[in-house]
This record gives sequence, C-alpha cells and structure tokens, in this order.
Amino acid sequence: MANSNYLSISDILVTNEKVPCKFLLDLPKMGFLDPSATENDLKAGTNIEIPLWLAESLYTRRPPLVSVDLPKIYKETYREILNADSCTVDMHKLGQHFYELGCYIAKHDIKGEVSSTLLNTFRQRFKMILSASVSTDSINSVQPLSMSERKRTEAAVVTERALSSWLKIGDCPLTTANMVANHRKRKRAEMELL
Amino acid sequence: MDAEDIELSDDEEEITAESVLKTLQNAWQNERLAPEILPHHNDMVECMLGQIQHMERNINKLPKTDLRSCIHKMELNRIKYIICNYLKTRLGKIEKYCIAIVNEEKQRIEAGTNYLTPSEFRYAQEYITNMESHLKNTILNHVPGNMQSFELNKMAIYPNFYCHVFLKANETINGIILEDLLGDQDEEIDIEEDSQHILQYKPIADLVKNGKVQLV
Amino acid sequence: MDPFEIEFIGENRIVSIIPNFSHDKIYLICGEFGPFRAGLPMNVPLWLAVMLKQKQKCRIVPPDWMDMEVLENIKEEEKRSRFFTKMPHEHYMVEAKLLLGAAAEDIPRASEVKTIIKDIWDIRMSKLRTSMDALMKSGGSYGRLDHLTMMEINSVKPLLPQAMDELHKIKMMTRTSASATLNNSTFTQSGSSQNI
Repeated sequence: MANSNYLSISDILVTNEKVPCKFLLDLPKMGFLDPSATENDLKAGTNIEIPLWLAESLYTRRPPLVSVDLPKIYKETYREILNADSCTVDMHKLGQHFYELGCYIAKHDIKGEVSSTLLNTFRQRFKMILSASVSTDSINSVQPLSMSERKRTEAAVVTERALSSWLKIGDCPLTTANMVANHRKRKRAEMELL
Repeated sequence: MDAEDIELSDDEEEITAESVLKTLQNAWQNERLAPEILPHHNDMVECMLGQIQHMERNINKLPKTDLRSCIHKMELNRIKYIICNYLKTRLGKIEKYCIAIVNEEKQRIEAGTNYLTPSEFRYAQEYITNMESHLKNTILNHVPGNMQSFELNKMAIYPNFYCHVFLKANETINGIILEDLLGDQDEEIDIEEDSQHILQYKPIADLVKNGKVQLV
Repeated sequence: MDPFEIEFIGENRIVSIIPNFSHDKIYLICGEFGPFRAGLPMNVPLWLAVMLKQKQKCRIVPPDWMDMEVLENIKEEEKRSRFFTKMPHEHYMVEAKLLLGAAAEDIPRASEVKTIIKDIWDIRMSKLRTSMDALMKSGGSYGRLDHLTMMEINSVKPLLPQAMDELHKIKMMTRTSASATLNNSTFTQSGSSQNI
C-alpha cells in the first residue's frame, strides 16, 4: 500500500499519533506512562492517551492490556458534523492525519460507522483540493486541509504550473490575458464555495 | 541513407525500422504510466541501437551543410531520448521495488517468463547487496547486538496494483471485472475499441502486457 | 508526464507543408518522406515541419480544422454538450501551439484562431473540473473519458488517480472482514525495542 512501507516517514508520523486508551489490568512499574500518576504501578481502569503503535501492540496481546477508544474527531458528535458538511471542518487543527489515522482506528469503532464517514468526508472535501490547487492566494484555501490533502494539493499545483508554463512558453503567447481572467473567475468561484 | 528493413532472425517475419520504433514508443509510454515493471523489449532496443549506429555512420559521410544531416540528427536525438528515458524509467522501478522485483523475477526466470533483461537482473541484485551493506555499515553495526538483525523482506516496497490508470482500448474487450469492495457486487464492463477509461490497474495489467490497451 | 513530453509525442503527427526546395525522398527511421518538390504540398511529421519552417525551407499548409468556421462549430458544440465532444484529433492543442507559434503567417486569421482554440480549451478544462468532482461523488472507482486528449488527461494527474487510489485504500483498510493491521513491520520493530 502506498505510504505504508517500512521506512515511510509519513506512516511513522501517523502511527505516532496519540489515541485514548483504557488499561484493563494492573501493570507493575508502568506508572510513568500516566503523567498524573503518583504511584509506580499503573492501575487497571486508568485512561490515558498513548501513541497508536504502543496502543496497538498492547491491544493485540492475549489477553489485551488496553481497550482503544476513538479520538474525538471520529466520535458521534464530529461524525454528524462531518456527514452534514465536512468542508466546514478545519482538519489542520482537528485531524492532521484524519484519513490515515481513521483507517487504523476504524476497527475500534463498534458501530462500524467510521468507514463511511471517512469515505463521505473524502468525497466531499475533494472539491476543496480542486479549488485550492488553482487558487492564486494559496495560504487561505490550504489552511483547513489535512496533511495528505495538502500534499495532494501541492502535487496538483505542480501539474497546474507545468501546464500553464507550457501554454505560455514558445512563440505562441496566446494564453496570458485569458489565464489572468480565468484565475480571477476561479478565485470568485472558490469564495462562494467556502 | 536507407533505414533498411531489419531481419531479427531467419524464421521470424521481416520487420521494418518504422514498426520497431512504433513498438518502442508504445513500450516507453506504457512503462512510464504503469505502476509495475513491464516485460522488457530488449530485442527492440538492441535493434534500434544498431539502426542508430548505422545511421550515424552514414550521416558522418554527408557534407556538413547537407540539409539531410540535420534532419537525421534530429530524428536520432528524438529516438535516443525515448530509449534513454525508457531504460531509466525501468531502472527507477528496479531500484524502488528491488526486493519485490528480485523475488518475483526468480520465479519468472524458472518459468521462462522473465521481465528483466539479464543485465537488469544483475543490476537489481547488486543494488540490494549495496543497500544492505550500506545500512549495515552506517547503522546496524553500531547498535546493540540484539537490534542488529536485518530482515530484507520487511523492507520490500511493492508496486500498487490497485492504483488507477488511464487507458485507451486498442480493440474491443469484454468482461473486465471491477471489484466492489464494500457491496460485494462486482461490476463487469466492456470497453470498445478507441474508448478511454480510468480504472484500477489490476484487472487490466495483462491487457497492457499483451498490447490490447495502451496507457495514456 | 511533463507537458513537454506530451508535446514530444504529439510531434509525430503528420502535417502538410509546401517546401520551397527540391530534394529526393528522405528515408527516416519513422518512415520515408518526399520527394520534396518546390511549391508542391507533401506530408511530414510535425517536428520536421516546424524545423523546416524555422529554417525558412517551407510554408505550412493549415490543417483543415484550423479554420474559423470549423472552430466556431466545435466551440458551440462543446458549450452545448454536457459531455466532451470529439476534438479534431488527439493532439489538437500541441499542433495548434506549435503551428501557430512557428508559422502564424501561414494560417489565415491566426490571432482569432489562437483565441478560439484557447476558448475551447478553457471550456473543456472547466468541464473537466466539474466532471472530476462528479466522478468522486458518484463513487470514485471508475470513469469513462472518451474524447479527452492526452494533454487534457495529463492535466488531472496525479490528482484524480491518486484521489481514487486513496478512496480505495480507505475502503480496503476499513473493511470489517479484513480489519486494518498497522504496518506490521513498524510494529514488530517498536515491539522489540520495548523488550530491552
């Protein structure tokens, strides 16, 4: 699968995201995991946020040492907002790795609704990438995007630039005037959209 | 100045330089656009390189001012670009997917359906050896003994067969199955000659290899 | 691919020129062309036409479609249709750019022709954006794209195919039957370092 190979930095970053977990057993000498703990041992029932890679390996033990809860962006309240209009959500603040972490976390969702939320959100927000990729004032339009959405936008901008420089170069400068007009139009269209 | 017809061997039909070029150009385009490494076209490459050499010798015999000389040079440069870029694209894939490619190629060699040329295969194997010794020399030899183990196959990167590609059908093909992951209702499509589609590479990989579709 | 590579591919297209010199047939690897007879039209690949034009060895014969009346019709049709209409050929934009660039004086009403081709291009590009969005909304796993030219298809790469890849990845990883295991290798690695 793309981006999840052994040395993929972005995959390492995603699996380093913290997820809320509840410890199911007493763990001797593991109290340091809980910043608010005063004892050496970690008590069963403690709720703390730990990185996904750790949570996952504790969860897959038999018996499991933790139960994994959904980060709030994948919970019911946010799912409702996302399903209504995901374009209003600032992923930069709320879910840098929304899709990637979501893929890993989906199995901990008992109702099985995270999957469809991810898909709907992705489909709806695709138009934000579309408009950000042709936008002249890139900073504002890129702001609410998640990390991977930004990467996708950057790649689309590269294509867009290559194409418009191809159109402009050579003895046939037919495009300049039209391109400027077009950009303005697109900018307006985008403002209506957001 | 004749781009003579070339005979590959006695029992094969005669092919023209023009048709070799066409094949190479399609192979280049497919190689650029396919996620995996495709079966090599070494006979075509060798044949074209021979043709280029032959042409270059003839160009040198022409007076410098001869119009033909710059026309031929231009054409040769165009063909050289295709060949270089084709081979570089293949090397790029070989480096990226080296572990996966070498593992699969070993089985293909046994079956006689190798995708790599002998020299590409050698390159792939040496690349792995170099990578391994690089990682050992720079890192693994300097970490505690219990962390030094090196498991090559874990590092393997595989081409994404599920990636989406654009294609144009060279002929009508019926019954391409599009897998439906969520609904379990696989869809079957027919593609007519000259129609264009965007779909997953996996169900059409063989059609690229046997020339029934062209990636665009 | 880079637009210049698509241009490179498009340059193999055959166009008509009228040479101002005479010469025997030339035998290129991509085929034989000629004989060249001063004043008589003949066919050559686009790259050769542009090269000869730059050396002032020929005039370009405007392709049939590079005509205001034809182009007006194409533009109207393109505006009216919900779908992409069939362009004069696969590399119309490359041919237009190169011929109008190198040989504007050989093409009647060249500046109007330039403008209208760019208009057609713009109509198609905005249609392309709308249809990309529609494709993603309608499922995003398959699309039929008849009559799009190679340069146009190239303009949606890598955005469209990668977005479709990502959708597929999400479907695959969140399927209930095959719940996503984290990248195994990363985990074993992290796991073993814990044991120390």
